[in-house]
Amino acid sequence: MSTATIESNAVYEPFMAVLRERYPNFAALWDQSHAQFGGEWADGLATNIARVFGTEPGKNWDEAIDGYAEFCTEALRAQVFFEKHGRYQASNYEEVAQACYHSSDYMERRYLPGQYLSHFVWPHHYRMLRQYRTAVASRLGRDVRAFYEVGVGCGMYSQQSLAHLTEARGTGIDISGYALRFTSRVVAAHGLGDRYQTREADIFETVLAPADLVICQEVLEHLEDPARFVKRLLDIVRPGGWGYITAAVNAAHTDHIYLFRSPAEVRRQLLDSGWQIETEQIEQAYPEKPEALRPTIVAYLARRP
Amino acid sequence: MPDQAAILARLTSVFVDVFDDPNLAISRDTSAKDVAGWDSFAHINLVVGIEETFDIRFTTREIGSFTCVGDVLDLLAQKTLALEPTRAAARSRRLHELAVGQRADFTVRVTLEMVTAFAALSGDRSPLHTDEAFAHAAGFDGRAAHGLLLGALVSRLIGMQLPGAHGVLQSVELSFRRPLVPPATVRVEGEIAAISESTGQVQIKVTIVDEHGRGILEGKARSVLRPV
Repeated sequence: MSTATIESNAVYEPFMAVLRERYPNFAALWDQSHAQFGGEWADGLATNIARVFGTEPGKNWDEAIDGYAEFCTEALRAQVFFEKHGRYQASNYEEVAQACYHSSDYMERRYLPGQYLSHFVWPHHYRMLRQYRTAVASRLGRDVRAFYEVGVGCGMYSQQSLAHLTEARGTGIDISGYALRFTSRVVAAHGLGDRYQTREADIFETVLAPADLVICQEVLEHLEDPARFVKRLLDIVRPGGWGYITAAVNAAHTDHIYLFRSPAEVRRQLLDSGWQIETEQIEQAYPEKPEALRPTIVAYLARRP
Repeated sequence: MPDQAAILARLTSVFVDVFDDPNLAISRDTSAKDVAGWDSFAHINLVVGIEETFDIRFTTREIGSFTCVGDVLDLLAQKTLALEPTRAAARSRRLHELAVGQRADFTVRVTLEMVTAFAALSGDRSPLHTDEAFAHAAGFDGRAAHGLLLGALVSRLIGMQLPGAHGVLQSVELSFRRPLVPPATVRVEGEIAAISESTGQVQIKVTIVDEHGRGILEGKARSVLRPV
């Protein structure tokens, strides 16, 4: 893997200029995150933009920026619906899968580029990502030779895992071929493709040898029965192995189905499934909102006994 | 022409609701820095409130770029002006007001989002409409719009303009002349070709042309109007 970072000014400022011109309202959060997290954040983001979307303005930047704007708008519209009605708009997994996960336009042009950038730009996403890198991956270190990421989305956590778990080989599993294709592109763009493979599969219908670590990042809220899913995650990790499992709580999106109303509900599902929880991280957006309406992500580092 | 003062009054009521401030006054120059709590979430709350109040839909580009009340007023003027003639038409046009040769038309931007929505609505997720790479391999410039998405624009023409609200659609025949690859602006045109006074049936010739004037669709529709 190339470790050289890209000078943020060479990419970040020109990218921001395009964003500011098209979507001045969405640029404000980028400026806030830049002020909050500093040069390391901007360098990291610039490196990711350069490798995945290129170093020059053009079609790829336009698509990434449009995708980010669509991703934010959909999330916020869904959150407004949630505040008004006290529930998520979608409830049927098959309908969501057809409209979203199996639609190339939705996944490749909007959802995945938008989600990829949101991992840096949304402060609560970035704090989660930073913690994974600095506290989780560093703790697991050489203990992990093989990991699965189940529900890869845009591939950010597969990318980070390969970069920081340097002895590990990874397998990305998803029911969406588009998500896997995007993830493969992301991983290859960072020079990490030789330790990574993808499988388009449903984990309930696939035989999977136990790994040292399973990553399941903001997937549970997309399911009708997340409790059954976390039990299955336990099956595909060796005894003593690790799970890094996160979920969105009171945080709506077009494809969120299962409403976790508190981190405790996620914790309870993990414990009931047999996971032992080692650490918990809770990150919130809009902290001024009442708890029941506050978009939150909770992350657990857990262990199979 | 929509009444600007009335629009501002309705817009003010949306702001009052969203920011929960009965004394909030707004003007064209009011922007996020003037209103406490106008953050990204409040911004979308405003968007949804305005959309519901004025029965319009903002694009993501519009949501991401309006920064003051004046921008919103300008957008509303454009959007409500575009709607007014069709609303008026949908309320009128009895049989005795129609004549052979009468025409109506509108222009619409066909977007990939519309194709995606139509695929979800109809269940026609053929890769010609949903998969860029497949469409290219099949010889198209990109994902083609569904023929019946264009047919839906014919439905709009018949139901909203020609003959409008008093007509009931009886049949449609469509021929697709060339594929339409969004985003593209098309003009939907209708012309009354025949009227039967005895049956109340109106035959309308319909065409859709793209921004270069190329024929995309031709056809005819029959609509029946009940006597008053």
